[in-house]
Amino acid sequence: MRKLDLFAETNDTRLFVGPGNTLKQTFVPQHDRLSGIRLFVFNPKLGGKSLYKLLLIDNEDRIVWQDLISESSLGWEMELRTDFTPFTNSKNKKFTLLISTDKENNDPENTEILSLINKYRLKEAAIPQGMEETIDRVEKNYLSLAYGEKDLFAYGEAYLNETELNGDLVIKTYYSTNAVGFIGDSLKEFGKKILIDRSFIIFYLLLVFIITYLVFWKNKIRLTASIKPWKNSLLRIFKK
Amino acid sequence: MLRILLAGLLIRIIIGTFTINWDFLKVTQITAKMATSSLAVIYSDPLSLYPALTYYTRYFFIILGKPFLTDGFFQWAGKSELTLMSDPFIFRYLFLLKLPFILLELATAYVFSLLLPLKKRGVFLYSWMISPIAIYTIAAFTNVDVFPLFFIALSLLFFVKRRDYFSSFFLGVASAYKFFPGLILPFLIFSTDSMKKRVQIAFFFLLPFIGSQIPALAIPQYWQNSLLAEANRVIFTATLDIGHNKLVIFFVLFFALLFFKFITEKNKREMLPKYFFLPIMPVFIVSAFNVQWVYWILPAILFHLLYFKNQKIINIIFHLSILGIILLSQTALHIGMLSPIEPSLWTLDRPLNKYLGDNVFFLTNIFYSVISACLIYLSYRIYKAVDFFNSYEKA
Repeated sequence: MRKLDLFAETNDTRLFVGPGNTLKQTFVPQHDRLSGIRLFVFNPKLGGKSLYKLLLIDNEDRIVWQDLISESSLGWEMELRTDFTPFTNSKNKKFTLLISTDKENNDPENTEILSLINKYRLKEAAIPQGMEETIDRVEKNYLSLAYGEKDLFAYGEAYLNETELNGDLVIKTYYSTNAVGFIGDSLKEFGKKILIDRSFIIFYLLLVFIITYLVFWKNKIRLTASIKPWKNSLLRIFKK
Repeated sequence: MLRILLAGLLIRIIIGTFTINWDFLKVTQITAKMATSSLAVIYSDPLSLYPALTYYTRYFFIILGKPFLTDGFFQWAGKSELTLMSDPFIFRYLFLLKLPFILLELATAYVFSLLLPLKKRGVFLYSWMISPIAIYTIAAFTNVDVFPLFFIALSLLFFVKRRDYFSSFFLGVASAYKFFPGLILPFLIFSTDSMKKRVQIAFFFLLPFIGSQIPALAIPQYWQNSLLAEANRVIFTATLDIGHNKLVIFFVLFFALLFFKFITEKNKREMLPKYFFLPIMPVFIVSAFNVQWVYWILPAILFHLLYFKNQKIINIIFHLSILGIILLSQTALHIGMLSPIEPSLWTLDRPLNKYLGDNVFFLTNIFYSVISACLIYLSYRIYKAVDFFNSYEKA
């Protein structure tokens, strides 16, 4: 089974993949056995035949996995799920996911327009007046990926071609484990998380202990004597 | 009884602190916006399904809990789901946000128990405290229905104590949280033969019902998202084609029949407590109800369990059918609720679908049908019961 390792989920805008516009996202898995990646994609050409290449490159610049995805297998707005054979030693090693058009799709005419669209979405350029129709036509021709503008993903960076971006692609990475490993890792991470808010945990455990004591203590609870006046005044509201 | 309530509180704070549900999360996120936005902005969100009083109440509880929430609470509420689940302070937030719900639920149980003979109260409370429906819908799911049911309980209590105007007022408050308590109003109005009193009862109902919505009535999206929302019309889906493009709506048919039965009762006053639940039953019999709505009829289910012990098999089948629907639903309704402990669970697909395929829908339909049968039978037994939440004896 696969367990979630890393995620960046803030979705502020979309960046387009096309000729001259390759998107990259680096990430450093926190567990061994990296085995799955999810991206959030928008495909305007339902049933289209264009292909997009996904490459996974390890920290030694070796291509460790690749896939070609067709527009016909993508919905308008969906989480693209890719699973692969687990990489045994993936922990703390930098990986790069590269998304580009397949060679046959290259269309130099649209390279400039796509770059302008991406710059506009990154708030680095404005769309000149009169170009709206062209922009719309080009946007309806290429795949786009969800992107978050702020750098909230501590484990990697996003790139448009070779330019590092401020934010990150919406991405999730998974690693393979068995049921025992899943539960063990979950409990370990839960333990680490819960100890961060120590004051609450101390209060919470104290409260649970006190209530348990009151419930299971065999002698008559003296508490009833102290709350009786409150109970009587509440019931007086309902009396005739 | 205090010990029973404390045991119930213990179970609920243990479960509630470590579970979350999509519905509760969305309502919290929408409510948190009230710190900086107007009601118009709240209702611009298409997921703002509830009347204004629900969000006001939720916001009031957030303000009450503010000294104990962290400074980052409102930023936390604005984050995306996985980030939110992974926040180390989520357990504190869940505890504080859910505590009012839990306390109100315990209060609801207590008020209903007051309407039973003294010797039945302890067993009733105990049944409520360990009820899987109560624990699931309030401690885990944290359903906003806790507010209307509490005020329905108060309405019934005041009715039994012959304070009809208070009864009507609290029924209006209940309806101001969610509209379903309004189904009881016609029966409350016609429980008296005096036309003057009927008008007065209607007035006291409308006072909180309309009054609490005045700030929102001028907002067009309020009408669209809440008052006239598609979710409110699911009860009208089951129909019978009678030709010429005309339909008989089953819910309306059954409701009308119940109403005619009520107005021909010899002792309407004595029968009315049953009609606090009987008009709600058709919602579950002829519509694809949301599973968390079952909380509305929990008192009736527990009453049946208490008074008809030799028929508890029906109750068991009912509970198993509810469980079946939950397990066949999306992950957020079952294991996904443990996402504060393990955020991965939030991203799981429906786990049973890959084994059952399209049979999921067939099985779900079977469970809905069984539930309909259980509730038709339960309604019959409730109708025939001699005492149904109409006793009040001082402890």
